[in-house]
Amino acid sequence: MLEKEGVPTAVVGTDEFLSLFKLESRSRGLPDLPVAITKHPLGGLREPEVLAKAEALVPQAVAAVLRGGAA
Amino acid sequence: MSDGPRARTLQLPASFQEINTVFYERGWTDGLPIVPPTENAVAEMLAWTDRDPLAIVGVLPPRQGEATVEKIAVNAVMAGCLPQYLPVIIAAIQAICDERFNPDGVQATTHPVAPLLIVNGPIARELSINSGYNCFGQGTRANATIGRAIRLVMMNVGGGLPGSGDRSTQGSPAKYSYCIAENEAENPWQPLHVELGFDAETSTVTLCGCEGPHNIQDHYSNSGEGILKTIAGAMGQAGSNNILGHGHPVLTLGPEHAATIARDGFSKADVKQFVFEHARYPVSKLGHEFTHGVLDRLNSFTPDDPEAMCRIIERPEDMLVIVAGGSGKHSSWQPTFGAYTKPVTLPIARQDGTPARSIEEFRRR
Repeated sequence: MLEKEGVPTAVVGTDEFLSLFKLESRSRGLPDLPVAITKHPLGGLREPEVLAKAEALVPQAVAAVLRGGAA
Repeated sequence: MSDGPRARTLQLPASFQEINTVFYERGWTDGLPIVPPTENAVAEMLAWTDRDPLAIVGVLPPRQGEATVEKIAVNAVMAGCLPQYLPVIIAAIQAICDERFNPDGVQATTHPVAPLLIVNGPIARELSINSGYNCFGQGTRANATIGRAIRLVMMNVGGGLPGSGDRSTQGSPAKYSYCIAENEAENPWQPLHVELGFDAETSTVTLCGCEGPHNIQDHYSNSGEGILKTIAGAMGQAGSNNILGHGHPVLTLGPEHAATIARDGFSKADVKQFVFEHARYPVSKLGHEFTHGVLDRLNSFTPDDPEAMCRIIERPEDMLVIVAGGSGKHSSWQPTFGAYTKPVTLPIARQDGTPARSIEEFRRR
C-alpha cells in the first residue's frame, strides 16, 4: 500500500515466510517489492540475538529500498 | 460487477478413484475424496442462482483469486453439496471477501482461525441446516458440505494451501467445515439476524473468524447467575486472541442454559454485560513479557498491580450471543482471531440485492 503511494518500502521478514511474501506481492501486482530477510524465527530469542539480527537487517533493508527490487 | 475467468475443463480418466487421485495430487482437495465436478453437475448447481456464472462474487487473498459464481459452484459440487445450497455459499463467500472480515489475515495467519458460518431465517430451515443436537459435529449433509465448500473455495480460488498460503501453526478440525444454523425455536430472545436489524423472514449468513468451539459444561447451577459465572470463567482464559486484542467472540448457548438464564430475567444484552464484567483474567497469573509492553498497551490496567484483571472484550456489545444445540447442560464459546477480524452478516439475496424469502426463488425454471 505504501509502495503504491510512492513511499519506498521494504518488507522485513523471515526465510520461513519468504514464499508467502512472494505469493502475496506477485498477486497484488508488486512482484519486485523489496524485502529484507533474516533466518526464522524472530520470536523466542534473547536480546543479544535480536539485536544482532536487527543490525544485519538494516543494510539489507536500505539496499533493498535503494535498489527497488527484491533482495 | 465485472466478469472473472471461466473455469478450465479437463479431460480425465473416468474412474472415481483416478479422478480423485488427480485432484488430490494437484492439491485441489482437503484430503477427503471429492465429488467429481462434471459439466453436468456444475450446470445443475448453477440452476440454483440467478447470477451470471462469470460474475465475480469477491476476490480472495493471498492469490487474489476471483471467486466467480461458476468456480464457487465447482467447489460446491466437489464438497458434496446439494445444488440448492449454492445461494448460501455465494453469500458466505461474499462475506468472507468483505474487508471487515480481513480475508488476508484469516487465510494466511499462524492462528487456527476458521470461518464459522451461522445461518438464520427460513432458508436455514428449508435446507435442514442442523441447529440442534451435534450441530458443530458430524451427521448433517448441509452443515458438513456447505462449510466444506467454503474451505475448498478458500483453498482453490484463494490459494490458502497449508504450508504456503495458509500458515496456521496447528490448524483446527473446524477448518474442514464450520457451519450451523441458529436454534431460533429455542432462543428465548431475538435470533441473531433480528437483533442485527433484519426482518425475521429474511435469511442471513453471519461469518465469524473463530477457533473451534470450546465447551462450557455446567450441570450444577440452577440459576442464570450461576451458569453465567461458569461461562464467564471459561471465556476469561489465557491464550486466546480475545484476551490479547479483544474483538468479537461468540457465545453459543445450549437451549437449556439459555432457558435458565432467560427465566431468571436476563436479556441478551444482560448476558453480554455479565460476560464483559466477569470474563476477566488475573494479570498476575501471566508472565512478565506478556503483560509488560503487550497486554498493558491494550488495557487500562497497571501491569504491576496484583489485583489487575484483563478483560476479553472491549465493550459488552462486541460479543455475539446465539443459541444452538439439543438438550443438555452444555454451551460453548468460539474465541476469534481477536481484533484482526470482525463478523460480517449479509442477507441471502438475489442478484439485485432483494433478500430471498425462500430458497425456491433461486431455482431456474
